[in-house]
Amino acid sequence: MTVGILFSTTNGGTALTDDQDMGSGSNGDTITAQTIYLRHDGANNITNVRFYLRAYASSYTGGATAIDDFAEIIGWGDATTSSAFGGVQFNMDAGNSFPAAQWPTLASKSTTYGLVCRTGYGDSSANAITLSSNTGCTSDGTVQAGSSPNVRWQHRVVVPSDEDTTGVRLTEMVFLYDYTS
Amino acid sequence: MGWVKYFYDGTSYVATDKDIATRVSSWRNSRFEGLQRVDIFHDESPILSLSGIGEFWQSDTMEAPVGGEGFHIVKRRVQKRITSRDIIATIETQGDALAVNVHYLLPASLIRTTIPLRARDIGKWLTLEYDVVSGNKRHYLSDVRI
Repeated sequence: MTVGILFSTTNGGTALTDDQDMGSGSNGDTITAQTIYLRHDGANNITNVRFYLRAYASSYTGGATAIDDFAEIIGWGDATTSSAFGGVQFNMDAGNSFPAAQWPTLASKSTTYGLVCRTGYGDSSANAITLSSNTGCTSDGTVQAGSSPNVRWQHRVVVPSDEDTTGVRLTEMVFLYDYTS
Repeated sequence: MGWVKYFYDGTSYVATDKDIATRVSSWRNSRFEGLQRVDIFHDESPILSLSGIGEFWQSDTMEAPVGGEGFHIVKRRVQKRITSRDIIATIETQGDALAVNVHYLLPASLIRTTIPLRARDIGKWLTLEYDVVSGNKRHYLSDVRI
């Protein structure tokens, strides 16, 4: 590989190498957000950095299937009623300490620096979401070189209040990026 | 595997993925003067080849799942900026490689597959791209250097 990208829970911290538990919740819960940091080992900037969700591709240990979990999670974001709305949500306004106003809502599923993954938004590589400069990267989609660039975002899961099936859901968050050595 | 720069004086510069990862080789920090052709290799076979006069660029697209194992190259790419001297580009097949030659003079032979380069294309980047996952190769004009 030419350039590796690394994720951690602290700036420049130990790289994550395993699945991340986003927490547990009951109907209607907003599970505590997690802050994830990003860095890379290239000599130059990585560009066109974007992310999306996809069906879990490793050994599945949930209660249904990876494809069903992914469809359900996207469906939570697609919902048009408050009882059915939820999903995997992102807040990229690190510069302002991830204010509440930047988390998505049913009425505003995409804010200036946040969104809920749903059909057409972060649900495939073609609909990948560009990493905002407010995460601490040099410009939208461009992450500077360095061992502790302080590029980070928060993500969380909101469980719809009308969800009636318990169990583990699995999904993957994938980053795409370009690099010239 | 990497890429190779070929120069008019017959010399070349080889950069493997390993050399790039260890910062032994670099596209940006290697020679550009006299560059006439760039070959992109994947799995030790040439997969893209772009020839012509002018400014070239190379980039790869990589994919990495959060908390997952490993990073994968999903696309390999070479670009050449279209200038006012570029008249036409010809597409050739060289084994499995997509090979494109950008001409500043009209070639004498009959051209079967061509990419006309119009005035409105000046400044754009003729891009050859290999999708590692699908195995598909394509060419297109990009407004930007990737």
